[in-house]
Amino acid sequence: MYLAIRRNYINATIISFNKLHTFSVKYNSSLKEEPKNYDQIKNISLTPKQKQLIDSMIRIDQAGEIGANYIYKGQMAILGNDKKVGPIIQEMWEQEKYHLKTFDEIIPRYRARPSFLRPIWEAAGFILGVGTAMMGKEAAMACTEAVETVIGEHYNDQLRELLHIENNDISELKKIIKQFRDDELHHLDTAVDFDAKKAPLHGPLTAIIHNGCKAAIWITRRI
Amino acid sequence: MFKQKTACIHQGNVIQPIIWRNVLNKQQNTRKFTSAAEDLKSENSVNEQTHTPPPTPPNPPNPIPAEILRASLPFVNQYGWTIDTLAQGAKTLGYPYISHGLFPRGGAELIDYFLEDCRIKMTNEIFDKMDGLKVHQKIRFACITRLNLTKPYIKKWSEALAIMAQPNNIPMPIEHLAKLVDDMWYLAGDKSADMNWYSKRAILATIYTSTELYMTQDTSPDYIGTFQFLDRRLQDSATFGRLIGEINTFADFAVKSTFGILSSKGIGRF
Ligand SMILES: [Fe+2]
Ligand SMILES: [Fe+2]
Repeated sequence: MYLAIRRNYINATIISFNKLHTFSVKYNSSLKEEPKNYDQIKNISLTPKQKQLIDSMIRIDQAGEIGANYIYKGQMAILGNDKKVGPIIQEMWEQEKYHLKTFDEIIPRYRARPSFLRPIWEAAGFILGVGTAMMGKEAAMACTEAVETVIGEHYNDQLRELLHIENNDISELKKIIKQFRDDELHHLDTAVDFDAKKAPLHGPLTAIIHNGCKAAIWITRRI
Repeated sequence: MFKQKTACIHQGNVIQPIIWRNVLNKQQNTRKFTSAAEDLKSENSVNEQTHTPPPTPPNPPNPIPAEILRASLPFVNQYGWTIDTLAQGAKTLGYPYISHGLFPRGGAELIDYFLEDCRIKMTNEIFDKMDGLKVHQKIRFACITRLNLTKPYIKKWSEALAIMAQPNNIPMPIEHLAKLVDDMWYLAGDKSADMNWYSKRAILATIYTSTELYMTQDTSPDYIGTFQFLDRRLQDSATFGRLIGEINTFADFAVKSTFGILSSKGIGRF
């Protein structure tokens, strides 16, 4: 019984690992004493405003990782057999797969709403990946550079906002976002190492992708 | 997508912000009223009172509206979802009348309270009884629990539906429905983070709403007809769900859902 309840609620509440113990104890005692109140257990100690903030954060991050996944998927479709950049893109893609998997798990755990436009981010990412890869290896890397700059900065901004919220429930989220930010910045460095700056039309291409990503973030915050 | 409303929970009652505001308004009004009535009496003592600090407002404010709303529910079957019911509820608490500002949305306010109250009761009732059930059994259990909470008021429920369908009230029931189906899927342990998140909620909202509608017309003993209707809808959706499978692309979604709706004639059937 105890295990089953814990299994049900392990995903239900935002619990960091060290909080799990106190949480279970609290729950067990409430079994004996007062009638269980689902809302008390469900609600984490965040204000509605903070909850909304975190909800939109997770939604944007998931959408971003979806887009990133499909960019690499598109690039691999074109450059997959390239001996020089193929393995590099594959390696970065693997990390993006892990990022997306993590956010797909976080969404039900934090009860965040996923983006309604997921299919659109998939399509947009894939088109961007294929399009830039067709312009050449350097353009593909310039695309990665531009996207990772925006995503990296975005994670950084989120981290700064999360640091203002003193709450154990989100310490896990902080840790994840910090790690992912570092990953993205690492992708950025890799792209620059592989001649992103030598891409044709580097300036306009970067500007277009920057603005596109920012527009996507703006939309995903809402939808 | 759905507007998030801030709500404070006090003694297990959810008090919407609008109600808090009304409490404060009311307190100010009553203060004005008494001071006007006792003007002459207290005139002499005003000078003495100026030095005493003003009484700190109770924190949180006295949840009179929520109390009245709760006390009003037993009168729904007699007076409907109306301001008269609220007046009766207020009477049982010892308030001879209720001011017009207290419940500006009239009966809709009572429905708002009722829907929120039912959702909380439903979650509290089932959240620890889900062990060992399959997902569709959990969803069925949740629906039945929630329907049973509407049962005592079913005779007056079509009246509530009419009030909820008024243009300025429409966002309220939609928000409640969204929260209800979200809680149901959450309690059923749903982990979807893609388009299935939306299709699952949309399908369940349709099922729940149509079953509730059926229930208002149901004359069978113990509402057996309603629960059979619910089972048929869930059966349909299981077929429908298998057909959708895991939706991966938007084109997939459009094609398969159109096909699904066409082939499962059961959706929306009465
Ligand atoms: Fe990523
Ligand atoms: Fe990345």
